[in-house]
Amino acid sequence: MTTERPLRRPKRAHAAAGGRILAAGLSASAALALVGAMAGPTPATPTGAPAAPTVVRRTSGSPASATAEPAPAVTPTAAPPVTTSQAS
Amino acid sequence: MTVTHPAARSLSQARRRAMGSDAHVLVVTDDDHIDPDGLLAAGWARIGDLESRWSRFRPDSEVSALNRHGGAPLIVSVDTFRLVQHGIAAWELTGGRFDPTVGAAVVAHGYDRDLPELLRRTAPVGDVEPAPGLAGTWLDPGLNVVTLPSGVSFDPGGIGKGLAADLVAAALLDAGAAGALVNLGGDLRAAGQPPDACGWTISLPDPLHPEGELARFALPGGAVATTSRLRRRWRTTVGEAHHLIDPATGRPADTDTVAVTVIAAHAWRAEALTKALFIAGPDELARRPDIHAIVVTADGRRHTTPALQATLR
Repeated sequence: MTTERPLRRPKRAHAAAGGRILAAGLSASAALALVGAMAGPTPATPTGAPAAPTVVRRTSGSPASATAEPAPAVTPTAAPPVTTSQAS
Repeated sequence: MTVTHPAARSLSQARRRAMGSDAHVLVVTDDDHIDPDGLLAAGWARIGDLESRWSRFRPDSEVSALNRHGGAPLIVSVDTFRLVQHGIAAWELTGGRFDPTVGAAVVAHGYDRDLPELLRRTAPVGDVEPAPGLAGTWLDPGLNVVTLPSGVSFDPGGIGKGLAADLVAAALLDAGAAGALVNLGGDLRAAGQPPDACGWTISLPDPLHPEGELARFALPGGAVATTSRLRRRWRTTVGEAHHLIDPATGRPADTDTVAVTVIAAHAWRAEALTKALFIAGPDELARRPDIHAIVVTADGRRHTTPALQATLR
């Protein structure tokens, strides 16, 4: 469930690849353009996600509480369904 | 198809295959200047865009690029950065029971191609190890740079569909829909105004008797996700396998649980919790009153949280 893998802690941004930053399927010039395009909008982050560069740590192995985002209250109904939640 | 409702809201919908699953998009409009067919087309386009970025079966997807470059920083799109962020959040939320790094174990069991092709053969099983987990993943949200640990691959799995449902539902509201519901293979998200005052009526098929119904409820908004070991299963050289891998063993989870449905605020969260409950088994439900869930076990028993008991049929 949790890993015993030692944590990697790059000392500086991008140091892990010798200063190279790769862009998915792009040339170097396109990658630079992408950096400019991506640096503007701030991505929507899940609750509690850090906004600064970070290295992910091991999990505690215990599930966290799900009460931070309460589930919607549903009610039984006899109305015809609009859709089904088929299993994935 | 458009259905006129008394409250001057119109419901439009369309179904097609997407992300390897049956998909269903519904939009509610209450403004004559908004073209519902245009909204639906925009929704499908957004789903297609996310699939092209996130599919592990497409060598040109960003997820495939990430997995080829383990150990090296990679600039990804905002959407793919979000996907990795949410994968990490789900991994942490579930104490590692939902683990996007089970991809190698899934592939080791032969699931290295899409399901229709997989079902045509008996898959060889390779070396199986516990999932490595996401510890050591490095994220820079300023530049959308992701560095996966060397040797670790990221498999969006169900959370890709869940997060896609969240993002597409939000995009449809931004485009002018009064309400939207996006259902990607059972990971569904409803946002905005439902088609009528009761909410969105959702049906859960009985996993053991698919012609029957397990539960039916009105959802005011939020998300529902369902996972089952009866859907994606295939033959291997060591017996039958299913896609719900226990990260601790790297093998298909050995549990009496057949299917799990979770209701939550967001589809990515609901999806992660279904996987965690499936791995943990029905006893976990008693320890997690904060989760709204229905668990069906192989003996046909239904285990629910009190909030959902009344919805069972």
